[in-house]
Amino acid sequence: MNRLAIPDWMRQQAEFEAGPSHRVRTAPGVRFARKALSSFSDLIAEMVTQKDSAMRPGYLQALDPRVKTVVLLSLVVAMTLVHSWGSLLLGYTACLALAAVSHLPAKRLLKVWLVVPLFTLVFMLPATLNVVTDGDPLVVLWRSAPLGFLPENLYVTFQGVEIAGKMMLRTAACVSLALLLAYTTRTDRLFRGLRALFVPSLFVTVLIVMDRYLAVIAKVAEEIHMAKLSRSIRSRGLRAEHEWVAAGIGSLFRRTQSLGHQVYLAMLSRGFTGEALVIDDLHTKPADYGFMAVAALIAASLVLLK
Amino acid sequence: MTMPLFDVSNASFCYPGFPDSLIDVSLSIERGTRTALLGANGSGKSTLLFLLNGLYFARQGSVSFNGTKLTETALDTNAFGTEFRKSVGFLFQNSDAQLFCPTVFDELCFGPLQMGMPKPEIRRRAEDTLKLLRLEAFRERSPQALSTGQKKTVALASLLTAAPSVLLMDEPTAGLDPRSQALLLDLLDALNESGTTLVTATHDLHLLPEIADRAVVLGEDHRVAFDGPVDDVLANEDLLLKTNLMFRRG
Repeated sequence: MNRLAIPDWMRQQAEFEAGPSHRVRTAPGVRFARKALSSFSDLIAEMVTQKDSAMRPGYLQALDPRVKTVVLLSLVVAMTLVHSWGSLLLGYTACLALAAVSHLPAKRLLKVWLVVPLFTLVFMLPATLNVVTDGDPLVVLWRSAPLGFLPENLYVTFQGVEIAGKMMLRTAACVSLALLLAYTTRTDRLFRGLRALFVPSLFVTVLIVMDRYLAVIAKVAEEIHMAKLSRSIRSRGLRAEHEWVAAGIGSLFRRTQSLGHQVYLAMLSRGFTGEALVIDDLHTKPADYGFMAVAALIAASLVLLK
Repeated sequence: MTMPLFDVSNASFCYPGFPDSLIDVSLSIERGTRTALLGANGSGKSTLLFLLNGLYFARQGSVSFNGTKLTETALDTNAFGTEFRKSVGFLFQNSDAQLFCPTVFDELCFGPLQMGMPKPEIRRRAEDTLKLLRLEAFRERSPQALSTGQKKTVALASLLTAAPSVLLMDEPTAGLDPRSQALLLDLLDALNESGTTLVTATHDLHLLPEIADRAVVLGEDHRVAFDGPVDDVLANEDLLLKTNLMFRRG
């Protein structure tokens, strides 16, 4: 016999109502908030994927991280200096070739390669208009007699489209180079690469701890989101959802503060003194010199190609 | 008379903004012994381990290791700090907090690397430990992608590579499946036989005789309620009921 007297309402379990039920429409704003929260779990998966791809055999993965960091960041600088279509296309093609020989997950890269240029294009749209970039008309959007502050003619110019196109290609190439570095280099080695660039040890230590805390925060955020979903019966509207998100962020920081502190204590306990040490000795091999030579050639071609 | 390895003298501790976690705790731990810290949740077992590992410091009283008081200044002294971290391994209750390297193999190398051990020796130790704890299949896996039990085993393995003479363990059997538990107990026996001092915080009475000879029981008032042989604790039903280590239904 059960000795604990539970309230009557606890004995009356809710019946599961099977069968067709009325459709509840979730407001678009609520869907957006939920989508944003659920993307935390994607972030965790992405962090693991990034680590996996960095450990997969491939051309860039095998290079000395110090050489790779210096070379790829130098190529980013070179890409920002070039102006001709030929140079930009060459730079972008080099990124694609490097991604291919490094066996990077095409699906993930494609997502970035499609989203980033489109995003840049949206930002650059005003630059295509004659009010920003004067030039020869390509598509006429507006033509009228002078009317207040409105321009007499509004059209997309050849020159504007060229500037937007080049900007889009340049951004795509620079983001690709940064991605190549991130996807093919384990974080600990990336940090050693930064040390090779004379980034101060204190700054690198902050990055190491931040990298670990990010994973902790993303994991706790996912748990909070899952707990909310498991107890959500119906949508409470956008305002309530916003309030919940704000409260969730507060709760997230309270919970992660303790776990983050423990991570730091665990590092101290195992003798961490602030320097990023790895077991693999870094040696610059002939392949690294070859990569440097080819990269220097590409960088020179990019800048010199008219 | 030989100096105890750890000497806790009238130590009290509280987290900022919270009530006391430990009040007037005194005990000493000798080399090569097996000690269990028993107590209900929140009694201060984990806090005591943090004090023994020099991660927190007593607000009142003191904690000494080999005759040297554990203070921030003492641990910042290179020679003592390095020697202390080399000698004392701490298995956290939450393995997620303890594992922060990209792969299991890196995790095993982290401690010895920090201690300046030669790299060939570190690699040899890491390989041996992977084999010993049957972790070879996870060598290149990210610790974050492992199950709770596997994480706990990796966390322990990451301590063993530094060959500490003292192991402080917070609920080491929690989350382990029966086979992993058996492996852990065999390992702890072997380590203790070779001279390793074991201090284990637990509330698992079932495994108590397997992991310790002496038990220090912390009461819910955060004071030492009993300090003596494990058999005496297990035979003292009143003590177990009073300290919330055992219950009677109804």
